[in-house]
Amino acid sequence: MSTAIEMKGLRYSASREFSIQDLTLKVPAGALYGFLGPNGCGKTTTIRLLLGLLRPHAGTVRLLDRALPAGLPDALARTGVVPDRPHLHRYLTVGDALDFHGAFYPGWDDKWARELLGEFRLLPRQRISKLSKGETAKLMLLLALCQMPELLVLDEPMDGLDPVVRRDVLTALLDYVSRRSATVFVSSHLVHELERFCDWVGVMDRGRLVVELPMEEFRNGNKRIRLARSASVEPSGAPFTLLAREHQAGEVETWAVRGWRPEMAGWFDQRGIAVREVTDLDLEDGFVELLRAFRAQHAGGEVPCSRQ
Amino acid sequence: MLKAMIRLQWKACWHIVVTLSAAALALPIVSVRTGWRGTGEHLPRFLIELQLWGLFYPAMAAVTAVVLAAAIWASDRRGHHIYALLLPIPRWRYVLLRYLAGLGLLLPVVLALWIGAVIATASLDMPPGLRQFPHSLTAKFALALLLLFGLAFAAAAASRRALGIGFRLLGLFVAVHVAVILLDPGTNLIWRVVSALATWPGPFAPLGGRWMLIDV
Repeated sequence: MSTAIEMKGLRYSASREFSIQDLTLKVPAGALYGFLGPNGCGKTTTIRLLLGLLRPHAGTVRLLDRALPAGLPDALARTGVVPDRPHLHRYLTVGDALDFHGAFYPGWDDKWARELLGEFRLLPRQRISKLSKGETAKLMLLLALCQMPELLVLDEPMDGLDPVVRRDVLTALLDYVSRRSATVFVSSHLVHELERFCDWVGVMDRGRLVVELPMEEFRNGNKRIRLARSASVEPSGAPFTLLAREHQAGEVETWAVRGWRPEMAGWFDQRGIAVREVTDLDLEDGFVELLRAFRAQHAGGEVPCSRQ
Repeated sequence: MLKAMIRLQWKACWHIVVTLSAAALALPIVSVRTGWRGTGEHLPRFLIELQLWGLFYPAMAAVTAVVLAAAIWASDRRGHHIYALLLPIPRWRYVLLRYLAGLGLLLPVVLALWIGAVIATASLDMPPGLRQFPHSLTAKFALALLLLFGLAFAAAAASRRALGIGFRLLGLFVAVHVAVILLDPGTNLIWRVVSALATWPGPFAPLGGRWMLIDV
């Protein structure tokens, strides 16, 4: 199995205002895939489509080599899920929740579950309705991990957690992944959260996938370039993608670009433009510029251009 | 899985089951003790009172069925069924597990009614000519409960769309009934349908008939 998740031409309309449009996405097996996007861009809807909670209007979904919806129970038996909001039965105690959950998964590791309870400082007698937000998040991750899944799907698992709980959750997650070579599909709207441990990234906006590439490429390919004179230069035919351009005082212009490599400076030389400085674009800035460029393109406009 | 589901539902509904069981235990005892004034001229009046008390048995079955069916699905509804849908079993199997575990919750109520009926009849010095029916009354109650629980469970488990269709069909039926009454005031469509359903071999036959713990 080389692909853990495969979505092809997925379409889903949640309302008149929002729809998933022609979404094609591929998560390699063993990848730590960060699914980035601003709030309300369709990440949770995509995850619900992926897990069979919603039926797409068009397109196909394959989860762990099983075509949905027919292969859903088998795929779910090998998938650990942490949804965006607590979904457990609130009247149960932590111990009851473990017993109930474990009964449905053949690979459930009860011994490890009891060990993790201790590590997460959870008590079996605690009632779920009385747990704090951080404790609930830890319990949901514990349940997902102890089914020993091949794939973990986590929808904003660290949203609103304090740094201590965040570290606990991340440590347990990375420990499991390193031991089991599992695939992780994790969504977030915080770039830095995913940057630390993801090796693939998919960016979504307004129901569309903007880009999907290795994190290394995403991190290193985004540059800010200061040019001596470029007012007359159009980016068409450039070997990189122009995200934004900004006119500054005098004859200076700054371009934010994606997919930059040093040899591409020659493209400017040929047009008589001097490249004064190339600096790394902060990951968050790169993400923001990427979204701005994407939105401008889909609004039918040019690359966003501003003046100072 | 069924064991886990029974435990889950017991945790969610034990207080309801205990309350309903207490009511089921008390019903036959109270019905007999409040009307009993010894033998002789009081007997016909006692039997009439007992017949009125008999209305409480199907009502008890209906309340038990509706309350338990609603309680069983309450947690899933609150969580928008996300947890249930993420479990690695087909949906029909999850519903079946819920239903079977729900039947398990009906047992204490039926058992309590049977115990109550046996205690109530055993405590009377039965005059000649009267017979006791604690077992058959319990069996009738169990059948009625099974039937009503099936209906309530289906309604509680149904999607909004399915419920909408059901209510629309019901509305259509009432509209037809009104139209028929306007055309022919002597025809009561609702009564005819209810009679057909509630008398043998109608599916609601266990709800009809006499609910007598003691009879001639």
